[in-house]
Amino acid sequence: MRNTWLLLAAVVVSGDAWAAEAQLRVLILSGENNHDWRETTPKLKSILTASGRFAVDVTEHPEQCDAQTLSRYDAVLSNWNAFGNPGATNWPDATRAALLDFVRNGKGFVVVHAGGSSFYDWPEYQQLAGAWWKMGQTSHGTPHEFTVKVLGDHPITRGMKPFKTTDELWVRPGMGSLSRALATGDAQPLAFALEFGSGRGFTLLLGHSAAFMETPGFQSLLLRGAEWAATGKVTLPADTTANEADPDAVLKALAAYRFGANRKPVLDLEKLVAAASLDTTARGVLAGKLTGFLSSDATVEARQVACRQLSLIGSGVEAPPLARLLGDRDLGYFARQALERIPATEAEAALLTVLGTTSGEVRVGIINSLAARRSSKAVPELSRLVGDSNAGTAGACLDALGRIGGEQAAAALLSAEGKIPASLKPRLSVALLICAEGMVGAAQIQQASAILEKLTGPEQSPFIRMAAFATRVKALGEKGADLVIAALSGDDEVLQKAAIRALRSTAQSASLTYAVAERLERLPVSSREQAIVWLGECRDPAAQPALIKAASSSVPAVRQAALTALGLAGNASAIRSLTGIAAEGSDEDRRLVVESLGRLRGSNVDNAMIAALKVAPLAEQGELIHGLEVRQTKAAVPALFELAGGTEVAIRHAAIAAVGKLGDTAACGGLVSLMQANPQDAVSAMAEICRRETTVEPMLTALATVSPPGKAALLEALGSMGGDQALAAVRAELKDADAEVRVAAVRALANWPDAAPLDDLAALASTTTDARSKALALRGVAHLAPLAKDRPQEAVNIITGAMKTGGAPSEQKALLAALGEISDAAALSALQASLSDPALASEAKAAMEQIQERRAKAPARPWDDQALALFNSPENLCRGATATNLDNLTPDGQGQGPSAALDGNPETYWDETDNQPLYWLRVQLKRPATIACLRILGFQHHNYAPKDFEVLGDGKVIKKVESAVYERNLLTVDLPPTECRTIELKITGYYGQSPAIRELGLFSKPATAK
Amino acid sequence: MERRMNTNDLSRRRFLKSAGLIGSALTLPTIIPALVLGDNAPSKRVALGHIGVGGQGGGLLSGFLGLPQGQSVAVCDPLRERREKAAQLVEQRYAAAREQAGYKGCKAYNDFRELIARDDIDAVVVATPDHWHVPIAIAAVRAGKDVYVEKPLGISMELDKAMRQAVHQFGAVFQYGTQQRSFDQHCGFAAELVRNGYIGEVKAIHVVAPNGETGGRCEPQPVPDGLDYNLWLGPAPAAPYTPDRVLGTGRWHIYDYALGFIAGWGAHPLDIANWGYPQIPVEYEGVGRIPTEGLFDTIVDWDVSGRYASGAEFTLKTGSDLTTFVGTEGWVAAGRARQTLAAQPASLLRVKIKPDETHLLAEDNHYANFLNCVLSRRRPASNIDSAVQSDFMSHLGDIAIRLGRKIRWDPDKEAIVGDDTAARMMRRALRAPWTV
Repeated sequence: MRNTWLLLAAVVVSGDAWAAEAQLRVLILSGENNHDWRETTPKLKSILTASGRFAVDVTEHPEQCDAQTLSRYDAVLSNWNAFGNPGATNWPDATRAALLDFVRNGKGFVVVHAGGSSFYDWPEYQQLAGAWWKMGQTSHGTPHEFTVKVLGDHPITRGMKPFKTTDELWVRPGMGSLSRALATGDAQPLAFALEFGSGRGFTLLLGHSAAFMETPGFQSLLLRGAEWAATGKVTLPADTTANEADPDAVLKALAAYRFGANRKPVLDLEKLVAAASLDTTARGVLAGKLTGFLSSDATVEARQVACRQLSLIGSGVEAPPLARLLGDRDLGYFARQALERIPATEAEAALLTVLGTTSGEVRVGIINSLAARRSSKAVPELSRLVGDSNAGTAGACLDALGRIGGEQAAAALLSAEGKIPASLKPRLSVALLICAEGMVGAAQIQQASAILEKLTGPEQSPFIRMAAFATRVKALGEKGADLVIAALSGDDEVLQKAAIRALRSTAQSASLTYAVAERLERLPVSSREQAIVWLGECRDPAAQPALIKAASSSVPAVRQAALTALGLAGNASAIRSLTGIAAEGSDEDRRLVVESLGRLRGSNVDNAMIAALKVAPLAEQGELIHGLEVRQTKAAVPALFELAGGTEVAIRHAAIAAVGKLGDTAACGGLVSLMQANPQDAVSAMAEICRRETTVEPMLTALATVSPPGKAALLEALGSMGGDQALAAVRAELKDADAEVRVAAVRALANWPDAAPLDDLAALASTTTDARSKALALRGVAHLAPLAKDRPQEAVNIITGAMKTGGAPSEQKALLAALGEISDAAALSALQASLSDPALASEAKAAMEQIQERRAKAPARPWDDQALALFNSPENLCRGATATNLDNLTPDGQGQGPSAALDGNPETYWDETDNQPLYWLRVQLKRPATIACLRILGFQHHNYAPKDFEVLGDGKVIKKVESAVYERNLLTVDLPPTECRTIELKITGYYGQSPAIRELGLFSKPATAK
Repeated sequence: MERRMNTNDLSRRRFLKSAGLIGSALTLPTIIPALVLGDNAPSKRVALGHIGVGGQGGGLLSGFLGLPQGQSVAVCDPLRERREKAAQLVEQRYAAAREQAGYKGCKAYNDFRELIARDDIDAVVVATPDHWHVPIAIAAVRAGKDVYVEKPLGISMELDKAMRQAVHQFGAVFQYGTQQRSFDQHCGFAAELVRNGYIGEVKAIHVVAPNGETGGRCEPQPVPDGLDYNLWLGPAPAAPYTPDRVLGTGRWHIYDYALGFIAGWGAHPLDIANWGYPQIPVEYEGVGRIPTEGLFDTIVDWDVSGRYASGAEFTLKTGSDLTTFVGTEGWVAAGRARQTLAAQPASLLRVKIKPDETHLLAEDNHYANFLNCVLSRRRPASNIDSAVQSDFMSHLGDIAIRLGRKIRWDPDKEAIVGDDTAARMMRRALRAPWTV
């Protein structure tokens, strides 16, 4: 097969037409037309090839054709005209003469729609073109539906019935004297035939756009007309589409199918087969037809298609003819697939019959198919062939015997050992293993065990021994535990490892868990650790005593494995053992204990842990508290409050923190009463609850009741939380009677997470008489002013104002440093003013340098506002669209996912792993739209930006861009207007190491249309 | 694109990053296969062979090269240029990591059988075209290797079953290339919400994946020098060589090598579906479009609906990339992009899965998870059983579309019920001499 293809490949220049000798060869002239030839030419090609009658090439340069070019074809179809581009009529004389001679000497010329409307000064062409747009005479209305009626009798229209179509209908077209009208619509002639020398012409004025070419009547007229022009005869049916349900018509259409041609006939057959497959009679009839088709003179590809389909509906009847094809170079694979798929015993018998008469890969294939069928009938013959001198055959027999399985196959494999070369020994072991596994499944335990025991022998590869051991354990069922234990306790390292693996892959049973747990202590350390892990995974509390014992081992690996395993397998009774070990253990031990306390299962674990809190010694309480936190045991809150009133500081601290993690707003009352003794702990616990429940109410309530130290702590916490409600409360406390509280309120404002209290602080700095408040307020201004990014100039003014309030030098310096954080020209000039003050000059200078350095470092923005406005305009169809990447690559460096290309923010960009052959971005629009222009804002001008790429609309290529040229980092590409829902960019070339896209834009309006 | 900075800085950073030096040891121990070392050996590194080192395989190779638990010692590809480049890349990276110019130690193979025959290789990474996934992975498992296998699994359901049988029989560690189980941990969180009943009883699962591709040029061309085309085709039927078949995305969209994106991409969201709800629907019905033009002939648009045994509804459609679980008490949706995670009520997103509830997440690096499991013999994040299940969902959808009728699935017998033709579609023959 491969040789044929190579031969073909050597002679093919381009196009499909050369590959198909039985078909009529058509050359479509295209590349220029006042209609959308980019759409209609492929459609015409598709209609012609789908019929199976034609092989089609397309040229977009008719002027380059000469007699030699044309000699390869039976007909030329013109979808070309120079209408609107008179320059295109520059055909050399040789081309003109070649076309006329081509037809005169017996070939055909076909014209579709306006394909004949050129060369008004070339009389012979007008004769040949049949009918054309005649200036000042011809006209048309808008496209509409009309009925096409046949006029008189002609081979092309014979048998055709009137049909309705929608198209642009020409009124009073120009007509050559040789032309004969064949059909009309609304009394206007629209199809013409003519004879020209010993050749023929056919002209069809329908077909204004590809969409109008869908009508079966149009296609039928076109196909029959083209066939007649090429040969003078018509064999194609009058209506090509009415016969999809007729097997004979479908197979007839399929018969000429070639690789690369339109696959409609293939799909038609698949539909037929699917429909017939549910009905015994229809199925039999169609299978019969397909079988006949296999020996017809249909193309190789057509017969392959038929054979694939036969595999889905064939029965025993078809087995013998299929078996005869097994050696066929082109159909052998497909015939074998059919015999593998057809369940009937005749198919098995047919494979067996030919087995003896074939050799090489054909025979290997048959052996493989018998194996796939699990054909026990094949065992005797396979047993014989296993000694074949051909290693391929012998190896295939080993595999097959293994897969087929059973006592007979096992015997054949065991006796094969002496017959096969050493190179096949590993394959034999695998086959025996698979065979034995099959026997275990079929409850032939005794026979299987013998084979498996042999395979666990030391002469076998370790992995075979381990797999055989696992299967043996499985085969022995409950008794398998003894085997596992024996191996775990033995000194054969491979079997020990096998036993551990077997633990994992064997069905768990109580007895195995018990056996392993019981013998745990006697296992060598390395095996013990893994056995412990397994016991944990079994989650059987029966293992608990053994695990508790192991958890006090002095070997860290064993101890820690046991601590983890207890979390999985243990229950409430493990709690105190775990905490007891934690009390004595290392940090890692304590971490594992907390994790395991968190994992323990059982409805009483939570209560048991709460109870343990009350009785456990201090050293164990910390882990219990953390364990309850991990478990999120909300019911522990009352018990935690009890501990919070205890004497041990560390426990009190941990308990209050746990209330913060587990409690809800109801716990806040309790926390308020703890604020006197533990203001910091109680307030941070309350703040944690409030953050989680997104409220500040409990803190505001507490503010009203607690004494000054608690109040101060609360204010500080509110300051870190921010928000309007908190701000109002803190403002109110600025007037509190207690000085400490007032200062705490100022501190809260000064630490605010955003710039909201900036004005409060500025005012405070100039009015307060309290030195501490003033210092805090000024520091607050310095902290918050740089955060007011939406009003930098105002922030600068506030700072300069604050500087005039006469704060201490350290505050002045902080304010100057704050100016240095603001990258605004106003900040620079404010700093300039301070240069003259000797006390502040060095600070001011440093701040100015900071600004200048930041400005110098900031990259020149690789976009301008005008470009940005384009992407952010509502006309950008990418607004609201979604983007995905289809290239399986991941974002790289600071690049982000595909949505970064659509987010309207040029700071973020889509970018992936460097140096890949393909980057692929897909954009799904909100709704279908016409796309006529694409814009890309790349990473940097001709650096890290798409260079060569295809633009696809709904999966079809609509534009290829090569060596894209960016203008100030903006690429604008007009596209042929295309209605679509998804747009893809398949990027194969890029500037830099990868294509990065800051913004992508899709527009309905082309950039050239001003 | 890497982080951009000043040129000098950039080149140094680039060098360091590409050399895998940032945050890793400067010297590598001599590689000894894990099997020889034993599970408790002090320095455990897994010797890796990479089969298929094109786009995806090359990406995996880069991922594994950065991990201290593994050492890549062999690459394999029937395209000479690819395998030689890959071997060079490996040697350059290790040379840089050892600060030892001219480091050798990665061999390039044309034929995977030679790579698999090496007994100093512990595990292989299979990132071939889909039709080769299972035959190669089974051969590796039967040679005692552990396997990391790219998605989708097999091009027939029988191949999937054979893969699972081999993995179980040999106790192999199998990691499926559905990376979102590790890298995109929000997917696991969504699945954990469903598994632990946070959305109530599951009523519907909706899965969308991007549509397939049409096109592909059909003009046969001479097989280029440096490509073992016969080996590339392997178990698939012979076909004329065209570049789009082999070098581009064609291999994902031609039925002889793949099911198309219903499996090729569907594998990701279907895997999440199966992760959160570990069973597969028992009924499938759907429509789809198979292109009539061009080289690509798999289903490009699909709209499948079905039903689980529980009565829950199932849909599999063309769209973005998302799995939505709808329950009696809310819904949760997740795709591979982090921002796709969404739920109703929104409070579900703040749930903290409790220690004694079902936890699905393992390491946040899919490759490291595989290597760690090779060493510890645990089950990796994306195991064979769920791989088979999610791949079955693609296959059954495909079969239902191709036959244009409802397909019923018996999950216990793992068989299509009452439709002989559909049942036959579960199996494909392998071109001789290939077999599983």
